[in-house]
Amino acid sequence: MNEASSRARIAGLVLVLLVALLPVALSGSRYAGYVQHVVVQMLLLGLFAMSWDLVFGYLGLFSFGHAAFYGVAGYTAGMLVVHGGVQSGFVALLAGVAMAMVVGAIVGFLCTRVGSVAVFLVTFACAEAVYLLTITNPLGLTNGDNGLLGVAPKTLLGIPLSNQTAFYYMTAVLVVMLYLLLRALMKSHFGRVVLAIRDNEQRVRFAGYSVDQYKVAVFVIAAAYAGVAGVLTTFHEKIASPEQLSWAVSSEAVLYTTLGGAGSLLGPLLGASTVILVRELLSDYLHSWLIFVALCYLVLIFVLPEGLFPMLFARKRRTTPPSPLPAALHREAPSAADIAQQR
Amino acid sequence: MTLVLQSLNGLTIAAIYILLAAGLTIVFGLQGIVNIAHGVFYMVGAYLGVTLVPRIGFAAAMAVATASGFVLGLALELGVVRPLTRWKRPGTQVLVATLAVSILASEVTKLIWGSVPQTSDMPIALSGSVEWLGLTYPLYWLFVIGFTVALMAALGWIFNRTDLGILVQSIALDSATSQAMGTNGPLINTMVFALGAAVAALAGVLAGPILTVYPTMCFDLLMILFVIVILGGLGSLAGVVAGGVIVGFANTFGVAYLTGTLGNIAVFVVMIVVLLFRPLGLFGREGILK
Repeated sequence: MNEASSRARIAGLVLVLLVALLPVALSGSRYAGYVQHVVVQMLLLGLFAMSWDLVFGYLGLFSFGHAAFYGVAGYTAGMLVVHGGVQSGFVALLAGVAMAMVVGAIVGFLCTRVGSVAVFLVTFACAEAVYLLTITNPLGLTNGDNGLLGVAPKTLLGIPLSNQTAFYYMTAVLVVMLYLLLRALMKSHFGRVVLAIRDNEQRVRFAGYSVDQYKVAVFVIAAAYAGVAGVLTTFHEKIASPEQLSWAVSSEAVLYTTLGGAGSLLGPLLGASTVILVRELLSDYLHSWLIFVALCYLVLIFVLPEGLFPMLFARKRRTTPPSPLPAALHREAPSAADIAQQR
Repeated sequence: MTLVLQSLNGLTIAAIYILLAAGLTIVFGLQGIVNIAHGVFYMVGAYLGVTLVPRIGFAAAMAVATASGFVLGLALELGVVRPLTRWKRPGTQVLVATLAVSILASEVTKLIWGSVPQTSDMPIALSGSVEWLGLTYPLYWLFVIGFTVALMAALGWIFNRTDLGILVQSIALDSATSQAMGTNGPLINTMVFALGAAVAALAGVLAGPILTVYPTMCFDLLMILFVIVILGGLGSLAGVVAGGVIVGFANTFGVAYLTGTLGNIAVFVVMIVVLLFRPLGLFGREGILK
């Protein structure tokens, strides 16, 4: 283990301890509820961005429709609770995640049929279609523009969701577990094949792997992760709203991951936490929060394109950063290999 | 009768779409740059129309907006897109950077002009309506159609028949070889980008009296523009015209005979189907969407 990697491990442990002890330290203080609310937001949006990073940083495809997975899961759970009278948060969570995985499979399948630039458009179009369908209020299920209010199941596996501290610890444990699971998966044979597809899809195909199945699998896993984030957000805010399906949510995942650093899983969590922390600290003083964010990202793209995570914990990258649109951007003279490929 | 009126409405909407997509089809289709900020030029044009038309008249407002669009296009290309492509950054960074520019522009617009949707004034000379065979139709909408036909004919002639247009195409097809023959590739790319921006700003002024002008308009048409570009075939101006007319009609008739949102969903379904089964679009020869 090199120095940077052990530094990352120590930082991770400190953060886990901080999250674990924060409610204890703040108990009785009047900020306790507020701080817990904000940290839950960080964790859930971080999980959502982690899901996006799985598709972008590991598979190398630029999804602009992640809101579909996030929102569909939230709405499915919301409809079960509000219309179906389901009281078990666990059942609603499972149903929401399952529905997100179905959507993920469909979107992933469509993405295997088109080139890498078109993936951006296909995912965007799918998410917009879902968004528009939701606001038309089909069969009176989604309550149109207003969203589903009062999505508050009583318990999730025995954990009372109305207890804010319980919700906080449940979210923290779940996010840590899901992160460890995903990290293990990406270090397994499966994860290595996914990285290989990102770096040279054709070679992986020649090596006899069914690239399309791997792509669909990554989309399904990513959709499940985004789905967990979506359902828990719905439980946390007690509402499933059309905003959760809008392209702005998809772009948040992109921005958090860009800030934190793609292809690291923890980077997106770091990015989301940083943005939300800065927002909570500064938004009262800033005239326009979005102008600040946009300027920050413009500066970041130019000076720190790899994101915060590699800067802080600069392990030597095993792999090159993803670039799904390279051929289109750098139209150089084709090499002999390219010409041979075309024939 | 209503069918004729609906068709004219469809053509007018199509005209705006076509002008907006013209720049995008070259920049996205040939240069491979995903410019989320293309809608910003349209928005700036529309707001300049709202402010300037009552003060300096419609024609002058069109000229000012076109010039502003050109300058903004130059600034975006030279300031953001060019450095990132020169440093061989992944195309997704251009996407994120132009997304940030769009958010920035949208928020600044909100500060300057407020969040309330507005419409701009029609030129007084064109504010009447035409009566023909018992149909009454606003003159201005016909003007928009006619203007677009003339402008697209001019652009098509430049793009396909002049040396400059051929150079643009050669840079897009094989930048290295073209530059080895002495073409100034970066200059041409910048000029094409700025020209597309100028046309989009012009479309903004034209759209002002027809469509509403609001600070997030720079995002809302974006998807439809990509649909048109892909439907028509990347880098093809004729394709943009065909795609624009199809989408404009689909939109108008969809809103008239289905509900508004279902009509919009149909547009996305059409795009996914085209990407799956004919990624080259109607007029496309080759492109980045292999």
